[in-house]
Amino acid sequence: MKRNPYSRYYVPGPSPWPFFVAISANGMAVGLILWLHRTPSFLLMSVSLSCMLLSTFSWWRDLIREGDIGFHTRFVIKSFRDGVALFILSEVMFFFSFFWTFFHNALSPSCELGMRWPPPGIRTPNPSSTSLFETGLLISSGLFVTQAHKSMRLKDYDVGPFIGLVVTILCGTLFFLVQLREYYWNSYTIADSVYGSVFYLLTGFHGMHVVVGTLWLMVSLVRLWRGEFSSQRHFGFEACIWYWHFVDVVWVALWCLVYVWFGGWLYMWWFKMWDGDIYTFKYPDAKPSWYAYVQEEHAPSWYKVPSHLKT
Amino acid sequence: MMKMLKKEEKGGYGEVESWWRRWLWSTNHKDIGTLYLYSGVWGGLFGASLSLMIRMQLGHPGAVFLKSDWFYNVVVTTHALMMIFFAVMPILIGAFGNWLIPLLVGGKDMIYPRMNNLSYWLSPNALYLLMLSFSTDKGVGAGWTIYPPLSVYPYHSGPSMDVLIVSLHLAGLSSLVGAINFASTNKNMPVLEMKGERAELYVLSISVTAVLLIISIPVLGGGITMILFDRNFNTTFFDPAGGGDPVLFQHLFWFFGHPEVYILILPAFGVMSKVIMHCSGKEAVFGLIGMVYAMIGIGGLGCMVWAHHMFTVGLNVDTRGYFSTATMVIAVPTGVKVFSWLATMAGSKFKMKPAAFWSTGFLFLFTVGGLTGVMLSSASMDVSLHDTYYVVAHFHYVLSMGAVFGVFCGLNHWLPNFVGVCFNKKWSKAHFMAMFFGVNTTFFPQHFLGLSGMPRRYMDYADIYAHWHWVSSYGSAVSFGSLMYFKFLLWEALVSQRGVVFSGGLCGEMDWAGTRDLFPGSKHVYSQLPFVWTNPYNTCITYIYKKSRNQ
Repeated sequence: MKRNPYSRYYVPGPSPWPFFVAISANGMAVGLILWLHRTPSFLLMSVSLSCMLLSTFSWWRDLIREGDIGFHTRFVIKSFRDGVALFILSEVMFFFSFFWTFFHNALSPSCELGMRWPPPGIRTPNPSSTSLFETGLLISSGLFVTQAHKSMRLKDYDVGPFIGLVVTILCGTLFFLVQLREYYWNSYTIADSVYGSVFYLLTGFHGMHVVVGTLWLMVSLVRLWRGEFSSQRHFGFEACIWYWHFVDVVWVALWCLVYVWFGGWLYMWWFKMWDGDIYTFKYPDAKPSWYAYVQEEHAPSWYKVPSHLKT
Repeated sequence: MMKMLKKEEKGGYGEVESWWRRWLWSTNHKDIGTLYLYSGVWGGLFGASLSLMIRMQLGHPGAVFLKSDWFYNVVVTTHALMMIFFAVMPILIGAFGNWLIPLLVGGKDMIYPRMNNLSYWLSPNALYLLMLSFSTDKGVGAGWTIYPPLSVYPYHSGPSMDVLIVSLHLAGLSSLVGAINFASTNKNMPVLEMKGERAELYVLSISVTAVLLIISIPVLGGGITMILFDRNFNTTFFDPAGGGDPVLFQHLFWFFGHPEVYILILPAFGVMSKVIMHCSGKEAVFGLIGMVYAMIGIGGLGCMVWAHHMFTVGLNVDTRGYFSTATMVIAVPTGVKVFSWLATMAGSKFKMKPAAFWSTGFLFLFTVGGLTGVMLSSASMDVSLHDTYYVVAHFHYVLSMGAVFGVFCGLNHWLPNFVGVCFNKKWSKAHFMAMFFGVNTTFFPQHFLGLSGMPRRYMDYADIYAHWHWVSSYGSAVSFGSLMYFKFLLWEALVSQRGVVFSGGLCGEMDWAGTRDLFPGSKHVYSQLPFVWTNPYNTCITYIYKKSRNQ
């Protein structure tokens, strides 16, 4: 690896890590299949996993070292920004496929679901309960990580970024624990119709991304502690913040769509508050337009067809 | 002496370097491109052998050759996956892209050299898993589309489907990592006025391909993950028993699958632009801006037409109307490209090199495939042609005569650049003629078979189809023979050692001029920013090698 003043970026020398990452990905894939087919191989899985962890760790260590040496010119950092942005775009598309699955089922539920969403028999989680707390956690974590970033930009290397990052990491960890608790108390499983399937797929993959994001934030905290960031040069931290905001935004979308809008709760709240008059909210016995009184005698006077109009 | 050499020129070709550092741990775009080329050629030969098995089976009515219809389906499935993921994509994107992009944009290497190596090494691992799925249990006989319910537990209960799914995950990851690398390289690396609209068409074709990959591959990842869950974790995404819908998988699959066909053909478009420009002796392709936006338009439209693969699943009439119309619209930018290539050739002293044969053959046959595509895009017509040999003929005209002709065109054009030796020109032309005859004889009769109702993916057929099937199988034997002939040509080129004197192109062709008449070029061709000019209208670039002060 040579530094050339006439070149805008550096080419790293031969690196073993990509090769070992690929090999261990293969081993983990085979290990997964063996596990799925009831012949688990602990040896293969553990060797592959540790090889993967070691290789990725060393790869990133090399990258950080090259940055320390000074290879990360502005040009290189610009290319890193694009690379991370494209990676996040690919993650967005990954979640896009799961949201597609959700809408495919929620917007036109099949006959087997009684053509209703949420399907009859599913007691959906109340969006003003645990999941509201989770939403609050992630949104406030986004605020705190921004605070950490701003303090960093303002050359505060002592307190600000640490407080922000630690609180963000606490929020992320708490989110994970609260979601475990939510899973534990949910009345339905992943096998309870496509509702359960898509619910756990979406929230589960999101939760995995929260874990990864939290780990990344922890790495950033360590690097911050070691003084590897400066007010102008901290792209590792910034990429981590981007990723965290991505995780955050996915959750807000997930909460709005899965819990609130298509969880059936919006309608319930609306009709509890609504009294039939769009101006005054005054008629306690009013019902929505599609409401049919099963027994005529319960109907208010205005509901009954006047006798002179009866045919 | 060896020690001194090591001290002097570390990383140069003259250096004695351990083979694993060079080939396994590589961070060099040329070496990784070569690796891609080798695996791609291996995949292509394996896929071609499978296709020969298919044609041997279909050459005569009655299950006389393969005996087991399941195995026939396994062969068909593996043929498709092998050709798409392990032959065309590695060669057109991986090999040509890696070799050419840094040369064309004036860079030392790809922008993330280690990720480039990761992208390569994931691909043989995915290939290993595909072969594992081919040989484990009974293999996957669901077709490359792996539609549920055929791909879920009751019909593919063994591990081979799971292995195929993780193989596709790894292949997808490989493509994704490579695509991020290409997109970022093409955005950041070009020197001077070579970005955006002014990018070279080959570079732009790889950019559009990379963006399509980044958008579409994760959606396939999501879809096959859900199949994995349906198979192993008790979910019902595609199972109506739990309220799921098998049609959803088709949507997800084709949201990936349709951009995928543009991923396969766009790099071939790029190759055509380079080769036609080169053989016409012109500085630029006709209608440069039109070509740029045609390519971007093809990429954009390519993401919005996926349901034309699903006209018979019960989409409502408005949806079918939309997807028919949107599909037909793609013919417009494609037409812009074909006519611009023709206009580039017009009025030139067209050099009839072997690569020129392949590019003109591409123009003709790709257009034939495109026209049958326009016919298939009509939803009402597709109802009767869906899943017939007409479709098979259509996509082989655009792929095995579009993308694969692009591969041969590129090999004929650039192998001297990559390896430093030239093919025998006359014999290469003979190879083109044999292949041209072979593939047309194979696939043109399949239009007739399809129009008379021969369905896809069946190992046997009514006797009435026997004649055209016989012709088709005869053609495939010719194609396979000419493929063997190509291997001979390759061998002959390597042993005869006809060196490259110069490219014969204009000095704007940085892939040739940039290596300073050294073929193959040195490890990192541009050790500094190259000197590049554009003319006042930005229609072409000029590259001049100039010694820098520190040399």
